Amino acid sequence: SLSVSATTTTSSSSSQKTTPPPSAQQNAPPKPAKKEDVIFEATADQVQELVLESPVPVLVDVYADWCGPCKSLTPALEEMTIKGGGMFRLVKLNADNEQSITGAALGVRSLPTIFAVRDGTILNKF
Amino acid sequence: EFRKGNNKNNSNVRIDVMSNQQILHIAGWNTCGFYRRASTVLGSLSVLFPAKLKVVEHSFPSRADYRAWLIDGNFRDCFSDSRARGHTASPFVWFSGKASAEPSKEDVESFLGGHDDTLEWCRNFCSPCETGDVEKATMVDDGHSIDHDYDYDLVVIGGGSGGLAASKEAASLGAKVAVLDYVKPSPHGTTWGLGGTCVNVGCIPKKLMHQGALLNEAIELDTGAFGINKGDLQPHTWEEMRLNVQNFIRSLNFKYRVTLREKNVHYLNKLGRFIDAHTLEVRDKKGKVSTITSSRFLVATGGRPTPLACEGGELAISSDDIFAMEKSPGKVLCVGASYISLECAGFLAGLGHDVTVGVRSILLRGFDRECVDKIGTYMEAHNVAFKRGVTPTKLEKTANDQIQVTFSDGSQDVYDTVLAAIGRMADTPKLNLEALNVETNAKNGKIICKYEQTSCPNIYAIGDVMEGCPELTPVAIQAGIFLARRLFGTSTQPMDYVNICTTVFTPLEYSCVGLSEDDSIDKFGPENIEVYQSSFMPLEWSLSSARASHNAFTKVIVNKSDQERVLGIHYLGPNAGEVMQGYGAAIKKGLTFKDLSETVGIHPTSAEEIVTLSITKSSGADCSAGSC
Repeated sequence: SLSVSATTTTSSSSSQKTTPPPSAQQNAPPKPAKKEDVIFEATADQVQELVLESPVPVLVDVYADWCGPCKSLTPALEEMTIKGGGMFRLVKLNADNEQSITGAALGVRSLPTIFAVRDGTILNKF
Repeated sequence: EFRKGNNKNNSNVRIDVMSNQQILHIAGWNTCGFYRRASTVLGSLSVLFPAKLKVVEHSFPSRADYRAWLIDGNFRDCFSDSRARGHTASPFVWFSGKASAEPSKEDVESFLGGHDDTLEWCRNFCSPCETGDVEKATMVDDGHSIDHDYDYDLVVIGGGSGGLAASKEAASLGAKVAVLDYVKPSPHGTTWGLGGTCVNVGCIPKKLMHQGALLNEAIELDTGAFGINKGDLQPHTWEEMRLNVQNFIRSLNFKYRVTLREKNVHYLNKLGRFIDAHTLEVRDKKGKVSTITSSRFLVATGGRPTPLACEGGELAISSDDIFAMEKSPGKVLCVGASYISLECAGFLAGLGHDVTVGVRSILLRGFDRECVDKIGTYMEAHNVAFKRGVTPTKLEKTANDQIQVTFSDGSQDVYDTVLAAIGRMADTPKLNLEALNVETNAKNGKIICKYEQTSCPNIYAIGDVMEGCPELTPVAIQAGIFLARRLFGTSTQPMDYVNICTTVFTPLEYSCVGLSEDDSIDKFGPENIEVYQSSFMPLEWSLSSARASHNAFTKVIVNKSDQERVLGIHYLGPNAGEVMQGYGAAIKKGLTFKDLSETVGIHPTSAEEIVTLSITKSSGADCSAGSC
């Protein structure tokens, strides 16, 4: 089941291993990741594996084909994800096709909606 | 509403339907000022009119005791009305069938409200009705009770304008509601999402494409005169317009799904069929079948286009398909003289297509003849060809994928697209209404209702599927809301289907409210009718030499035997819908010609022509407006 509590603390009570916060000092920018390693188009039944059990933090991008602003935002998110070199993932959910998750479970009211998920918990959204 | 006394001299006074005694209970805590005030007023009324009103007071020794009874003791949960369930203040006032000294959960009928609602009810109780008889929608008791054990209180079949409005209102009044919406693909395979005809294949895409045509026309005809250089204008790109219109429609489908979720209405993308008066068999996209039960059903399935019956008729598309056509429709034949045919022909011509309208007899049956003639004349001058007095007898595909049409007068022509807009049938065939003895009109499948209730008491119908309902979105919406209030609230207000404003979005837009000139003459006799009219040039068009012959027109029809009461207002010109809306409210309040002429116009507008009318048809004077 999907945990939908939004919290801004970084402590986690889940039994999954916690990820260490990114180190403040980075000597060099990370090597760009391969698109297929960090960007995923998910169906509802892949959310458990791709989002909740992800070893790194995940940005969930809820979008639709007819949504103009989504067409602007998604490429920007993809670019940042690749530049992030694997520090975080982008998982895209099509709101029309995956209504079982995006509708009742995530309560998406407008598009695009982006969730930040870490260790199986939604930390923030916009 | 209550009326005081018996005015036996006035034969129009209707005997009050509620002449039986009403029993009101009022509960509160004994030092609460609002409770004391309300119970004092109620007490006085029950002393003055003991035959009409009995009041039972329930006074609690403290605020805590009152709240313990109302909230902790769950008294307020006896009511399905969400207002009652959320009420925490004192007093709490309700109707009951019995005058028991202790508040009884079994005997509650309906919730009135708190202090303010009670005083308002008392004012209505005392004051005579100002506008005469108020019609009450007395529906047949359908046996609904709060403690039924069906799956739902209300299942709405059809998620269009009427169905969605009714479902949301019913849910807000505490009912447990589900909406079934399922689009059977058109013969050409077009399908769409939640929202019904208006959103997907009606009003919304129609108005957007009409707007596209108006823009194109303005660029062609008007820009030059204002010194705007339109440059080297490229021909219209159908695909771009279609994509943006369809994306907008999908965003509306999404919004409707979100709204239903937020209003706690269950949305089921399934096709329903009645098994019995309380059971529906439902089938999803994959063919999986299940059943749902409900205390009440609302049929709001609307209509679908009638197909062309002639040989090859299946080659024609309908309004279900035109707005989603992936390739440009090219050269088009619109079959039919309804507003659907004319509006589509209009915007297609306005966007540069070669358009012909095939008309069997007259244009826009049911609308004012004089205005309709002007629409036809305008369209003919705007690149729309009319073939009058003909029907298509045969459609055949040509070698290069066009359609050759043979007409009843022997003539033939070739088109890229044939749009059949010859009428709409109620979408009732697959519902199995016959099994429930729900009466329908054999000619068009529409359901016959009284106060939106069918011949099967727990089944209701609104919108295009209902006989006698003007096929307009706002009518279905309001009828749905009023019905929900009657079913799950305390309302007895019927829907008013008279004096509804409407607009036809042909190239020359036409809006009207009330009666046509012909209907006015039929109803009141020619000697009682006067028509004030004006033919004028909208200021915005005055600079464009290309528009020199594009006159706008307006007329107001009045009843001379009733203080020149306005029977109908008609307007042909730009922004017709915007111009007419306010007059709907005025006609509701009994607008007379004097009221109109005493209204100061807004200048310079086209709307002011309506309030500055002076020339009558009977005077024979030329009604072309001069300059100001």
